[in-house]
Amino acid sequence: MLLIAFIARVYYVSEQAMNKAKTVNETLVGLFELNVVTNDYLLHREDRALEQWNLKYDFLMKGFISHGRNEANFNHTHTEEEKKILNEMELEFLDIGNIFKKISSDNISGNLEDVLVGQLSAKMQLMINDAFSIFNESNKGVENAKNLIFIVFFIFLAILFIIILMVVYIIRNSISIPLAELTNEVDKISQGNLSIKMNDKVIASKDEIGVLANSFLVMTKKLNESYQNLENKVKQRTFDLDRAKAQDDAMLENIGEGLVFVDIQNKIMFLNRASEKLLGIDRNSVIGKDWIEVAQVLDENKQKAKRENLPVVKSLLSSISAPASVSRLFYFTKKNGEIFPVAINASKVILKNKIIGAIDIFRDISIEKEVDKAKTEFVSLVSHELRTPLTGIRWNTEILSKKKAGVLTIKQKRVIKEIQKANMRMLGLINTLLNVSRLEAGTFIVEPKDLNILDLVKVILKEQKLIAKKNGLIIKTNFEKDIPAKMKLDPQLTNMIVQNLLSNAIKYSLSKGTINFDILNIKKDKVYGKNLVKKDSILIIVVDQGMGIPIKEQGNIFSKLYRADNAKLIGIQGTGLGLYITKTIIDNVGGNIWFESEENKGTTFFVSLPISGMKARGGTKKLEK
Amino acid sequence: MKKILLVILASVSIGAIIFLYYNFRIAEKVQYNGPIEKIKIAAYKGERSSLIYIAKEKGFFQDNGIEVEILDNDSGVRSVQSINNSEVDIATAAEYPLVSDILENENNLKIFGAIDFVKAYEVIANKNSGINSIEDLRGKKIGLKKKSEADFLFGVFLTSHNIADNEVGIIDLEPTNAAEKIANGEIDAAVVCDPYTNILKNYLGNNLADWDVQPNRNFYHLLFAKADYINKNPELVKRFLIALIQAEKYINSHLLDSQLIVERNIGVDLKYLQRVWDKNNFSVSLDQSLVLTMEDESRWRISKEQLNRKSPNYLNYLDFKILDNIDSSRVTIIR
Repeated sequence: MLLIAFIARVYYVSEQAMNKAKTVNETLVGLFELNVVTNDYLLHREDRALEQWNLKYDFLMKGFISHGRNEANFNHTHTEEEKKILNEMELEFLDIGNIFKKISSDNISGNLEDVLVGQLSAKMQLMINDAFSIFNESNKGVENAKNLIFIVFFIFLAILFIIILMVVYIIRNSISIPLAELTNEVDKISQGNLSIKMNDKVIASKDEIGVLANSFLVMTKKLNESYQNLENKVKQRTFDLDRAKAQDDAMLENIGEGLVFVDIQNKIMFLNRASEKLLGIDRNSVIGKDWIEVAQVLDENKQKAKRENLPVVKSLLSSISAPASVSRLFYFTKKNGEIFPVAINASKVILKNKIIGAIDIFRDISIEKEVDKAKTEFVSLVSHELRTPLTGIRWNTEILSKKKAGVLTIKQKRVIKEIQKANMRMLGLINTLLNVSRLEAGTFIVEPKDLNILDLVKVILKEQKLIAKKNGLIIKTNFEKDIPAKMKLDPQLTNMIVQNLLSNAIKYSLSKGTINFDILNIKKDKVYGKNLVKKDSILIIVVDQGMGIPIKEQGNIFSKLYRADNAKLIGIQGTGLGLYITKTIIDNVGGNIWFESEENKGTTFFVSLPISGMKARGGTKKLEK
Repeated sequence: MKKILLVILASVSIGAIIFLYYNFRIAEKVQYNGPIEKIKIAAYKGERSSLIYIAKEKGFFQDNGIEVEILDNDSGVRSVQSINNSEVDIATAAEYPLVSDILENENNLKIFGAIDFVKAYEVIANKNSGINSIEDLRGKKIGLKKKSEADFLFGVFLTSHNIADNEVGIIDLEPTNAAEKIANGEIDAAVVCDPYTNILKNYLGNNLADWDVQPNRNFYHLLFAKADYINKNPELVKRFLIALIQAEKYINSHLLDSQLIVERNIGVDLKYLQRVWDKNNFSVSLDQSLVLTMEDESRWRISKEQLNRKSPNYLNYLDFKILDNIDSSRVTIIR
């Protein structure tokens, strides 16, 4: 309270000193202006100067000089010294007014005017001197006020300093120390120590730090539990992984097939015992080496295989979603130089949506090849031997049906016709089997001649259009005009290819829609059915709107004896050898066959042949028609 | 303990906010929201009218609800005529054309501000006319705008060099024609101010002889209007002065931009403008010295023409209340 009273007193004293200084200042300036206007008037006697003199004199008279004669205020505001000076000034000011009025009056003599001007100047000088005295007195008051303000300011600073010290002390005790403790415990946790201790006072505190400390303790407890739980899970998972690895190792080591894991650069990362045995190598000596170099892979013609054709390379280069790559036939070379045929199944290894390597599983198919060869020879032999009696049956039934052996009853005729039909089917089947055996044995001949492919195709079409018509179908053709007049084609094989495609289209159209048969001359590289057809090729396209091939079976459609489930389901007759034979022929004459199909919408087959024609091939026998 | 701490902190914060509010609060900008009023002003086309150009381009007039139309004048005499003929509402001129007009016609004009305090007049002489020194001016044809500031300044100049008025031939000259008249030999020298001094100097080149006609003396560039107009539109005139004060502050903070604005408006080279810029004191004010200067000029004219009269009381031709109301520190008229 004392302090507030002191500050109020200081405020009052300084306010009074300032006001007085302001008034004195204004008066001093006013006196200077009055002096200026006085001299101005005395110099030129301008009316304007007289007007300004009167204005300024009245102003000063109303203001500082007379004080409105408020004696109480006068006595209270000024010191004795000031009062004395002010009283003198007032008298001088009144004198100045009187003298100036005499000077400015019109009826004044020149001598008197000179005397009065001198008096006026002297009075003005006295007034200014007195005003400076008052100014100095009032400045003392301002100085005192300044000193008082300085003291107040100092006291204020001291109080502020004490408050800051108190605040710092309180903050230190209630925030900094508990926070430091908390930080210390957090450091322990960051170093893996979950057993922390907290000051009881901090724990018991109800403030934010206390709440934080309690929350921290709860969190630590839960973290500890979670950590224990996690540790147990890690132990269990590690055990599971070890066990799985042991199982996998045992499986991989003991399977009869060779298994190799290569990285993305085809370097061997793992090789099982069967691989070691099949290749006759020490696995430790080949880890990190190029797998294809180690296996010295040969193609089906026993030439060094092209890298890009190998299943493992295809797997590494394929997209993530592409299926596993299955090989046709390759040969691996043992360390001692001996070669042996292998079937390879390569799969890519994917980690986090990225191919990191591939697994090549291979098996020695020497025995299977031998068995297959024996089987082929057997089928060939049996087919050949079966054809002779079947031909005999055909001749004899023809004799009977042509009545050369006597007239037959209607019932006998029907029986003979059935025998002929069955015999023809049997002969057809035998021919097909013979063709398959020749294709597999690689003994069939390809004899290309200069032929007009359109002439050849038109003959087939004539026959196939009749069959189509019987089945309620139409074959629409589109042959480009610039198809070469002559191409090197084996007429029999070309016939088999085109006939097979058209008869399949008719058979699987199920008597609906139209069959389109196009032959195009490809002059620029262009994509058909997702395959690039290179320029200078002839492209045969057969489109049906039939039952189509289910997606899951599309990968097997060129396999031997394979028939799609949807065709088998509705009882369409077939051997499953037509497309196998067609593809084998096309592959062997330098062409390419592929298709696109959608179930219940139809199938499109594409066959491309180089415009230079079919590659000739020496062999022992032609294929059967 | 914490409660005490909070109370102390809160008290100190509130105290600090109140202290800052009262001591550092930004003066609220008073936005004029009334209707837009038009002012037509005749302004001398020179850097002396810079505040007017800047206030217009920077939108200070618009902010104060004024749409200003500026008519370019090439002399203060013409500006006085524009006001007397009611061609414009407000005009600018140096003090002498106003002194002349008040002496001759006692028209009821009111000066309500000055926007420049400048030294700009020179005698530009052609050496080919045989003028190489001030004495050579005797007997020569001197072009100047009669009744303009040039008239007064040259008169004083001749007196101070002991040359009588009748020893030179004074030809009334529009400053814009000065170069042409010198080229034609119609005049031998001219008393002009910037920017015409610059034009003549460039024209005369090596044949130039020039003298400062206003040593120790500046003249004011004044704003004036008919007394009726000011009495009827005190608020409009107040907003007009506020806009000019804003332009004055803009010069202090954006000197180059201000010079570029003036350059665009009066069509002079920026380098020239920057050279003469410091001769000017762009400030909206009304000084006691203006009254004394006008009386001085008035006495000179009365003496020269031997008129039997006293100098008018120029306080009657000043309206300082409007500017005093805006900012009393800008008015030093003793009152």
